[in-house]
Amino acid sequence: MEAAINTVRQLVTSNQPSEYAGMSSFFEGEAPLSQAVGYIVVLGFGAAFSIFTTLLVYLERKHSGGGGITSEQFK
Amino acid sequence: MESLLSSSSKFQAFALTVQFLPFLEEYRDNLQNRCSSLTSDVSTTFLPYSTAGRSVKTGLTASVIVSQWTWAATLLQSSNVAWKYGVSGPFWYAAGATVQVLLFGVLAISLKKVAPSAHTMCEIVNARWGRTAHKTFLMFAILANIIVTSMLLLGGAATVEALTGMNRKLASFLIPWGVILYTAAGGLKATFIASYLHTTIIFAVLITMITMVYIKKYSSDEIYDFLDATVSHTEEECQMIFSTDGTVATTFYDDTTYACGPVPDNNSGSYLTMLSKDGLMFGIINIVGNFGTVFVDQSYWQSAIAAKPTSASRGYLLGGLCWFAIPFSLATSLGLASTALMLPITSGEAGSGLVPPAVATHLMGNAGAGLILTMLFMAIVSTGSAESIAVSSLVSYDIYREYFNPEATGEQILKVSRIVIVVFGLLMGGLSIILDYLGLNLGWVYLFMGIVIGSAVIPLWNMMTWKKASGTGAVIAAWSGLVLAVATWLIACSIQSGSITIDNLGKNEVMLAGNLVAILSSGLIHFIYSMMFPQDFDFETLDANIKLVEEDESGLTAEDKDPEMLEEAYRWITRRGWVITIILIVIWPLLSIPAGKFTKDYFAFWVLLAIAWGFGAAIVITFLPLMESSAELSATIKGMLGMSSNESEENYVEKEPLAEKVDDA
Repeated sequence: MEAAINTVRQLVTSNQPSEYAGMSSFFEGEAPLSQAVGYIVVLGFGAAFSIFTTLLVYLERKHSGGGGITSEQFK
Repeated sequence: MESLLSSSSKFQAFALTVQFLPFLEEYRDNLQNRCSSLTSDVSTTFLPYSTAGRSVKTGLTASVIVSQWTWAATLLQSSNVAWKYGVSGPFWYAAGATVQVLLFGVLAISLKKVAPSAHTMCEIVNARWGRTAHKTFLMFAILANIIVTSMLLLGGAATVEALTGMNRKLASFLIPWGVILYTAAGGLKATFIASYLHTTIIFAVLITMITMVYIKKYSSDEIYDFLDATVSHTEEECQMIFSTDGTVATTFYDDTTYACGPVPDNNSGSYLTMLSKDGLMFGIINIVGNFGTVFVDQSYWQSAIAAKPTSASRGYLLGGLCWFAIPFSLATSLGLASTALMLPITSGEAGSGLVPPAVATHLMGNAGAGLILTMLFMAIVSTGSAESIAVSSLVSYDIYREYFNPEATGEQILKVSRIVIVVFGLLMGGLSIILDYLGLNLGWVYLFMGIVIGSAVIPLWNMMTWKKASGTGAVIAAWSGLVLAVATWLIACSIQSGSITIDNLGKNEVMLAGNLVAILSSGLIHFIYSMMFPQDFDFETLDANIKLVEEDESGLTAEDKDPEMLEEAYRWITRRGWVITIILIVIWPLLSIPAGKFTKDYFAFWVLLAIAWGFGAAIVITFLPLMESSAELSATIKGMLGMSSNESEENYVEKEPLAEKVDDA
């Protein structure tokens, strides 16, 4: 039995990285990132994309010479 | 998952909307559409580099398809099936969901020929078969959008919770806000840029992960040896490995919970074989279920309807092929690494889509977790915005205009669309919370969706392609297909397991039975009924029954209606669509059978293919759109650097023909 355990221990080190020994699930309720990161991604990315894209639309209007607010203002 | 290609009248409808309903137009999520509308109406041109119109299309179209097709499930479930079945999982995930995009290209061109004025697929149903059929297929269409969106949130929220500790019910509720905000504020040109950005970010993370697994940290030989070692363990060894202190006495091992020991029903019990009974069964369910989500999902029709034919068919094909790399290469890397390393991932975690973040965390620590989170969010946002737009079109055109206000103006339709986007986003957050309470996870819902919507697929295909297809027959087929599928599923479950529980209902054999019955029984019923009571339908009359918002044809050019060009595009996509489909789901799997359990060299080749496909797709999807629009981009940049807007407008005019020549060449 001793020998068997040793064999397995060797397999564990060569295959499953040792830091996971004895863990019954990978995340075990512990999150690698902080909640703040979660809020930044979930809310921040949405807001950032909205701002970024709105800005691009503004730039396009301004520089493409098309209609919209810019041409109205300069008439 | 979403497709494209188009109908000239969609184009027309769109250009018309551009003039009268700029915001509604913005909600339309199709690149083609955007390009053509912009080209046709210079006064509403916003994006100089999209005004290159047709010359830009192929690469950008592909990019939009990829972004719409990439669900949370694409990123997460593909690795789950790799964790379960080995190499066959990623392959079947990718092949089983690529073929529908290719084949939808065929349907899209038919649509462009017979119903170019349509806004939604349900309008076509109504124009051909009347209101009873309209209500039936409207229900299936909305169900499809609801299932896809709730799955998106369910998978997304579970991953956000696992990675950041944010409550997943709260996350389910908050994620739609990003989509709502983005869709509402972004608008037409912005979603166009955003789709491109999403896709490039997804591919950047993808190639990072491939590189980490097969180039930087391990090699294909090492992964091969590890996978062999994993399946070589006896039950006792597994119990020791998965235990508190390395002895059998303290084990928490359970062979259905952890990946350890031989894989049941795989050749040699190995992960390294395509001869996997469960993998194949998953492949079949995947093919069947995805026909439902492509052909019954309005967002694909919307993109298809809006696009132009020629370069759009190319974009379709290219998009499908590039998309293949996402599940295939990602899961061949992260999914296989998870079992190779025997990470203590439980089947519950895997089913919730946590294999990729677990492996990424192992490989790169917090940075890896952050990358997966970012990638996932990109996928959720782009698909979520396409789904919200699809639902808002269905509600505004097929419910509001059809049953409540037939004379709705563009402005009213726009208002309804915007309300629906907000309401739908919030309801979906709520629904995914309910699903979570019921204990249904992403994997379960993914297999289940084909049972619910599969029975609408063949009737819809017949509607577009078969003049004898009967409307009454379609209604009977769709409903009885659904009833038969659910009955089969429940009966098969009680026969197989003795009792009906959520876990038992989620088993592969049971899901497969339900999925197959859904799609096949409805097809058979519709066929038999239509042979007995055929409709003698003249496709020429179809388009006339579809009402535009305003009686305006300005969006359509003669070129878009040219039957020869449409015929040519039809042949182009049909030939390639079917050939690639057969290669992917028949020839490739057959060729891999003689290999049995892969040798080290064969596996190295397989990995090389995954790496090459991943990098190739990333390069194409990132650079092709830039190259195609380089002339317009440089005009924009010059404009921004201080040249007057008139000059940049001239640049645009001068350069467009050049770009078109390049494209033709």
